[in-house]
Amino acid sequence: MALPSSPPLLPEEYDLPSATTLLPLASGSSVAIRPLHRKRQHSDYGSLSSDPLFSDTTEEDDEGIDLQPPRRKKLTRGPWWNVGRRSKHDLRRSMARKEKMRNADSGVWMGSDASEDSIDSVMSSQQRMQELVVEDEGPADDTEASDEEAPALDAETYAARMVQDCLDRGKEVVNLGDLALTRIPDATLRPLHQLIRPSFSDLTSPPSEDEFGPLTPSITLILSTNQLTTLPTELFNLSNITVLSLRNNHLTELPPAIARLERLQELNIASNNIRDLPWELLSYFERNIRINVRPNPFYQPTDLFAEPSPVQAGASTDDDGRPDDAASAVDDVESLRERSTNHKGLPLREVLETRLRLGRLLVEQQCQTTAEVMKRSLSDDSLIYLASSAIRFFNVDGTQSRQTGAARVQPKDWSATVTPLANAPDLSGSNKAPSLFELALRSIQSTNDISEFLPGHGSHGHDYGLSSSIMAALSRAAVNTATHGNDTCSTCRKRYIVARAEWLEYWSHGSHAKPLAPDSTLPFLRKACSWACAVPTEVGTFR
Amino acid sequence: MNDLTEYVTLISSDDFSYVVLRSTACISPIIRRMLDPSNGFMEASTNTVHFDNINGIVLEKVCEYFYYNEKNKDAKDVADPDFPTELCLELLMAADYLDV
Ligand SMILES: [Zn+2]
Repeated sequence: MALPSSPPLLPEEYDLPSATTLLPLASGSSVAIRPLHRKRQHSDYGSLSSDPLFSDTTEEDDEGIDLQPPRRKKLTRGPWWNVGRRSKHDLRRSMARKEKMRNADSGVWMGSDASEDSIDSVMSSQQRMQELVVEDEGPADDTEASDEEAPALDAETYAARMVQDCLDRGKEVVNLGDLALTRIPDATLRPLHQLIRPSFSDLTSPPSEDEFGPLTPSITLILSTNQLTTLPTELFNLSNITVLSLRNNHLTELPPAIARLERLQELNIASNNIRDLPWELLSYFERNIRINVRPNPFYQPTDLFAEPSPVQAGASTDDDGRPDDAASAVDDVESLRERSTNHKGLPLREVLETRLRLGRLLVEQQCQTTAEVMKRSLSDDSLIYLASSAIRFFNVDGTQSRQTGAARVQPKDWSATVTPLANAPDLSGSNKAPSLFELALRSIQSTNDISEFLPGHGSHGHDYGLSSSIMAALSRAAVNTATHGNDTCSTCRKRYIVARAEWLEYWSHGSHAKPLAPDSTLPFLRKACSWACAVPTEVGTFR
Repeated sequence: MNDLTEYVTLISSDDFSYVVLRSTACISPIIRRMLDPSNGFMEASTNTVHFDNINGIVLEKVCEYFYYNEKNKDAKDVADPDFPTELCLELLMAADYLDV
């Protein structure tokens, strides 16, 4: 895993605005020690936009560089010896980077309950701006007058510049954090496809062996502490991303395409407004990728979840002849399975706890037959299925199906139930074959220019007399084409445009020592291509 | 359940008729309801359904789909059938109406 080529992490408080006054820039600094105080510079978007792009970074003028208003000054080049020192500086940094790579596992990851990020707040945007300036000041350049006032960069332009800078330098840590970005255009990220590992050819010392490694980069993309509500499509095409931080944005969901980042080792989505996770993310948990998901306002299986267990409160209503033994005794698979599925009269909370015990027991049994190496990861990181919400069924055009029973599923009622199919429509005769609606839609998607039928794009729009549900389906197809492609059925893996069913599944993910708790329960949103595929995970399933 | 025929007749807006297996046509909840004797529609007694809003070319494709669906109930990785491009939008509307 690549790490920022800068000193170790700072505690969060150093990133606070007051840090500027608390930690003023050292004066008369030399290039060699610059990294030391760089990290302490406060990141301030306001000063960023007013900072001159081509500021003077010679040593005598370094003092207070981020505190001054834009200066009109001739761009002076450092003395010739700076060139050598700068390379030394680069060398030192690249060595530091290698050092970090070796210790990739230490100190990089932080606990999941803190909203701290392991990988950002390493460099503020301000320092990165400085870096850009340093880079712009190539040693080979002639002295060059730049009397024009540097234009104020908007966040998006600045981000694009940062990316280009990483590209120019073969820098694998792309830090676009803390830029007040509200969106990132695809075009900003697209150049990262061309990123290759630096060749170190500009160094004076001969490269060490591992510098001849593959040129494929391991990209660390930091987008934390912005105001992103959506993510650019291009992000999910960057298959060389190994670390991705989306911490502290305004995201409300993650697209299923997130699971396409096959080399991902670390993902941070903490401190967003995400209520459920895409089903596809389950594979990341299975692959033992470091995922930091909390805090987020996740759906919970039941309102009563945070309250004390009814078992402990003595409110158990067991009617199967084993009163109140749930917490201790008969923990054999058969009886647990029996009580997990044959749940008549049991409070939901108790069913969930029983299922969790069943899952853990099964995991432990599996551990006994598995190699030692696997054991620890299994018991520490196992995912145990707890329960599903009621399944919501959709007609072929994606409108919600009329469901039987008085209690139609409310649009956003995702609470867990032991009978997820209780309100299902008549499922007789439903099968996994795609609907005619879906087939016709796919046909249009592949051959026609869909936008012709959509209002505001083509000329026709309403001329076709299309219903709103058809319009919605058409635009869905168009959006899929323009972004991540069609979704994959969580049951049969076939592609589809219009989901026929969706439900939430709660899985427990946490240490076996911990009881059932909100902070170890994760909601995954499942969707299915057909009513026949609307089958929740079986009780006792673990991964 | 006395005289449920094995086949039913579907008639398009331009009077083309198609005779299809009742079981295949009944994947459409609309058709199933109309042909269900307990609902008292005239269609149930004649085993015939008229569609004022679906023309013959489209209805033919709909009937083809009924058989496609029957055939591919459990099959995986079946290629999508080819529909003439110019029919797709009408097919989409017919499928929406029939909920198939
Ligand atoms: Zn499916």
